[in-house]
Amino acid sequence: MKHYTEEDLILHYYSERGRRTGIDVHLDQCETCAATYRALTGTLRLIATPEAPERGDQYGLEVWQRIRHRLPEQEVPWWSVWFRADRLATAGSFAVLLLAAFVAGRWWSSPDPAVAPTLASTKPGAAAAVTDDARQRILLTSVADHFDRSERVLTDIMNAPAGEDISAEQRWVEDLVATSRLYRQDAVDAGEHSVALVLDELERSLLEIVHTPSRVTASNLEEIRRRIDAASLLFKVRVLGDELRQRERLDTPRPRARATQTS
Amino acid sequence: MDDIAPLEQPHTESPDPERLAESAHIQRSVATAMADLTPLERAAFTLRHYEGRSIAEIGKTLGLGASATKHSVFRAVRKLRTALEPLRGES
Repeated sequence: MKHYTEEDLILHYYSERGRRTGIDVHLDQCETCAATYRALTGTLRLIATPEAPERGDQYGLEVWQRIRHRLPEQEVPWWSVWFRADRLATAGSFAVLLLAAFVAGRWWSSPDPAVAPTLASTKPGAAAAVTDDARQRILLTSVADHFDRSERVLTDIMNAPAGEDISAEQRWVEDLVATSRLYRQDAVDAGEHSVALVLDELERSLLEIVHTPSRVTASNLEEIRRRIDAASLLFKVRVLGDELRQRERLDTPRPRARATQTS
Repeated sequence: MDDIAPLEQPHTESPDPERLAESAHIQRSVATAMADLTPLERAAFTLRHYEGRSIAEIGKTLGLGASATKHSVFRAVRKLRTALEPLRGES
């Protein structure tokens, strides 16, 4: 009788051998093989399948801690350095600071950078002085424009032929008279006495033109020319206008004492 | 004396202490025997005995042929039998 080997019986135990029925029949008949098989199964049944323990809450972390040092180092792209959390936080902080500085700059209006650091920080009431200077510059600029317009209309009228209708020029002159009064008052308030004086003379000549008949005669024109020439009005208006322009270009307020000497 | 009924043992589902101690002894012996196997034998036996994998699957997992896989299992069983034989007589 052929006996089965231990290997055959092991495979039979694990049901790896297709001839199961044949081995079973043999084991029923062969006491030697049956004893060997009983010993084999008796031993293997001692090795019971252990119960798998319940996974704890930290199971994932424990597995990761066990395997993390075995993982190969991953090469990161060079640009990913800029996306690290700490650098992102730093960049975010700078962005917030920049935004805050921008908002603060918009919120608090900045003073004139050329004047404020020197005047406003040294004297009390310097801000008022800055405002006065600015107002005076605006006045001088406006008066210079006024002189230019007056010079043009005076030149037109002095060169007008006798018998011409000057009603359009007279309407223009009327506006100039009203404006001239305002500027003269402002010039007096600002201490620009020479300017106020010329404006006064100009106003009188302009009033004479306004009250001249629209259809101007030769004698009317002669009277106007004589008056303007006598006062050197056109010359004064031109010179003073140029001076004001120059002061405007220099952008430095002229001392009031010197302004009073111009006439 | 005849009136005294025999004391009934309380019925319990849990095993008695002797049984528990014997079970623990067997588990320790099995663990020791398993530790004495080579890594390949231990892996092959574990996959076959505990996880019920076929020889073909074990061979594929371990990168072995069928014959080498079988012999790994055979060697493991033989070593375990030798180590655990005394326990079988005790139990």
